[in-house]
Amino acid sequence: MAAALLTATSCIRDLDIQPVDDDVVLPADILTGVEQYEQVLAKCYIGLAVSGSAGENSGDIDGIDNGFGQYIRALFYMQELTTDAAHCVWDDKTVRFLHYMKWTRSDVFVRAMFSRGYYQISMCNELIRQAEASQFKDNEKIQQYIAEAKALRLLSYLHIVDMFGYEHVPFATEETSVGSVGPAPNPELIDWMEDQIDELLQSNRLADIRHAEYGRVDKGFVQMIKAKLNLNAPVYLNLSGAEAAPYYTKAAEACKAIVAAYPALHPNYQELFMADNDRCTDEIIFGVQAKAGETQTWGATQFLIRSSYEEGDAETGNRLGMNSGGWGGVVVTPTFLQKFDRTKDARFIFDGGPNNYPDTMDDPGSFKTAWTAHKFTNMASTGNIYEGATFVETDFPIFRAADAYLMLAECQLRGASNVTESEAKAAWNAVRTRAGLGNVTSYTLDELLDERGRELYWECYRRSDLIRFGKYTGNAYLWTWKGEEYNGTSVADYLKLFPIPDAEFNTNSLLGQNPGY
Amino acid sequence: MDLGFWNDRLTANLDVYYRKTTDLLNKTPIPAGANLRNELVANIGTLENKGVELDLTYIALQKQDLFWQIGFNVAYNKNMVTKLTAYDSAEYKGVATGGISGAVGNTIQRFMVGEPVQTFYVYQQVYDVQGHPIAGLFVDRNGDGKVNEDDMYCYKKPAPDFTFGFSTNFNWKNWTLAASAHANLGNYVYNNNLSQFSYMGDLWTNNFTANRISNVLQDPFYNSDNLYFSDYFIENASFFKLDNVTLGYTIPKLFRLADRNASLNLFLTVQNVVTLTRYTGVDPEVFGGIDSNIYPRPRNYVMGLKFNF
Repeated sequence: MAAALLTATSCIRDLDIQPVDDDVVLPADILTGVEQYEQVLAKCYIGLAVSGSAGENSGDIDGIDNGFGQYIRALFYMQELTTDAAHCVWDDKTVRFLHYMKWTRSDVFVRAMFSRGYYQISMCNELIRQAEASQFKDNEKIQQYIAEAKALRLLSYLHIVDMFGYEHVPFATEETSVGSVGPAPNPELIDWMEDQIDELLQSNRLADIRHAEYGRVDKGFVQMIKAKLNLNAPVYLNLSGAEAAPYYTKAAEACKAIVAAYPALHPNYQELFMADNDRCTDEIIFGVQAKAGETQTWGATQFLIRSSYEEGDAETGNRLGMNSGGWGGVVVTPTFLQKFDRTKDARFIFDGGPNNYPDTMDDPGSFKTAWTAHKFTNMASTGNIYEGATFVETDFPIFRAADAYLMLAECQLRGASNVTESEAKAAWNAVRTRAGLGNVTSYTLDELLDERGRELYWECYRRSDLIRFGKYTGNAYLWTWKGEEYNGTSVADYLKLFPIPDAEFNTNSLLGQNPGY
Repeated sequence: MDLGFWNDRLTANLDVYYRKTTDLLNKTPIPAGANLRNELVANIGTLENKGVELDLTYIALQKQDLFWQIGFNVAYNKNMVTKLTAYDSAEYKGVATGGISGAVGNTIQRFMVGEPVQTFYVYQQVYDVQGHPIAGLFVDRNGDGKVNEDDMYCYKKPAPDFTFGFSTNFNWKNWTLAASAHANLGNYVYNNNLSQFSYMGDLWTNNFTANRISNVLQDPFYNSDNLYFSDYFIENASFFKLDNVTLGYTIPKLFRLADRNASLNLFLTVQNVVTLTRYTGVDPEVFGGIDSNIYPRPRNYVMGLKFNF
């Protein structure tokens, strides 16, 4: 026994080796002070904004064009292109298949989203892991950074669970070992997320709601994650009736906290999506920042704005605060346009460009047969155009108070015990009033889904909403080119979840595949 | 193996080889959640090459004032990727390679286990009774009732099965006639020009008519779904090329210098004489097998005088 112990001790230091290569930099050499941790935290934030740290053509993930692999763009491809609100006409790989709803296990865009989500999760894990093991771990700022990283990690887990399900995806935290062995799934992933949410809301390490500097997360951000997770949890966990009700009550609790902290919406809808929308702190709870000089990317709002006008269309370019180099890519289905009162609704920001293209979407491979959205613009509310007009200044709002207003009404309609009908209607009507419409006349879930579409289109919630309202798969709701038919056709239910990318199965034998793939 | 016959009038060299290359670098996926990237370069790939090479040199005539030599070689090669990742799951569709022009990020080739290097990875085009492609219609190869990425297949490869080389040299008195030629068999090319300029929806672009390729007169594409990935654009680019013909005449005693004769050599050379192929692009010889070249290879006529003092 003594001999065994001795042997064991004698080799411990031998394994404690450091690389001698000058080009290899170890975390211990960099993380020498609190400020350095702030820079790692900055990487956790910027991971949502750009594709890589070295400019618009760099990328943190492989196997995908850098622009495609940017977080918000990948999210948009999954959440909007697969719905009535958007379609991309390009010939890029399988991009049209997203709208046709015929993606497969090997789809590059699906994999881009998966890899992006886990890149964020791993980056946050790394900060938490390093910070908790460091000599500064009791420093107040470090504690705050850890809390912020945990909140950002929750956002990416929310996206992963929403798109890939909770049962078969890898579960990685700061305790997961780094290396060649992939982590196993966690059947209690959703419970773990609920626990993380509670921990952050109770902790005093995270800024209170509306108390963080703009662009950083606070408890309002965590409340929004709580609302979204609980509102969708009955879908994720396949619950209904009495089993689902407590989740709606929890979601309503979070929505009420938001409504209380954001008692009035920003008066002007369009301003929320303009170049100076960082001023809209009265409604934007968390925005992914864009700075033309610092956060250059082919994803995020840069993609949303450029894709909404054609190459050479200087007229629209000018109107959007851009040069004439449009990409002419993303269009909107006629089915979706029909949901608007075109004359009254301030949110009807669609057109067919200077050539007055029809809105019929006859050719799914052409930008010339459909309308597109100009809700996102690089023009400032003051009429100023930002320098260069090559890269944009417009932030992408991840969470807005108006979303919480509508979720509150939805919770009530779904049977939350802690919201009255008058509270719910008041919240819904506030959203309608801002849009220039009268009070809601048809207080139903179907009408609410349409309202969410009108209010939140292109903000990466459409797919989740359609699923929650039972309108995504099957034939309960058809839109132009759904299922690759002009008038739309029924698609199979398994498409509610995206597949775990096939590349993952070459490296992690613990994963399972979502049914149907 | 080296052989000589008839007093080395015919010499032959025969090589048969099998080469297995291991530890090739592949950008391989790594487990999500355990790293800060999704792919890493690892020494993990394995590739097999098999082939036969035969060289023949034949001296057909060797007399005073008359010499004729013929050289001929043929090589056969077959390669196959045999390993790419740590666990080669059947679901893994390999590494995308071979970027093409048109749209963003599109690739037409793969490195895939069990397939030749850079095999084309495409959809199988459906044709009408007249043999014209039906735009947007592809074969549901796995028979699941829908055409999606699962119906893509490996079709042909850019490397030739056989390569041939031929050279000859004929001398009669002061005249020389030399020629060289080469040929490839079984090499395929993705005609990127055809795929890029066949879609009629782009005819009217930026308020101008854009150039289309003349092929649209017989096979216009009015639907661009998966257009770039149709096997229609993969063409057999086997060819025979007569590269070089030179006719020369030497005047050995042009005039007398102090201790020797000055000579003059007159010659006429034609380069890139003729290409025989069924490939429809400008040049069937495309390194890597993706043709987006729009400039034809020039035919050069060279006339020369060479003085030797």
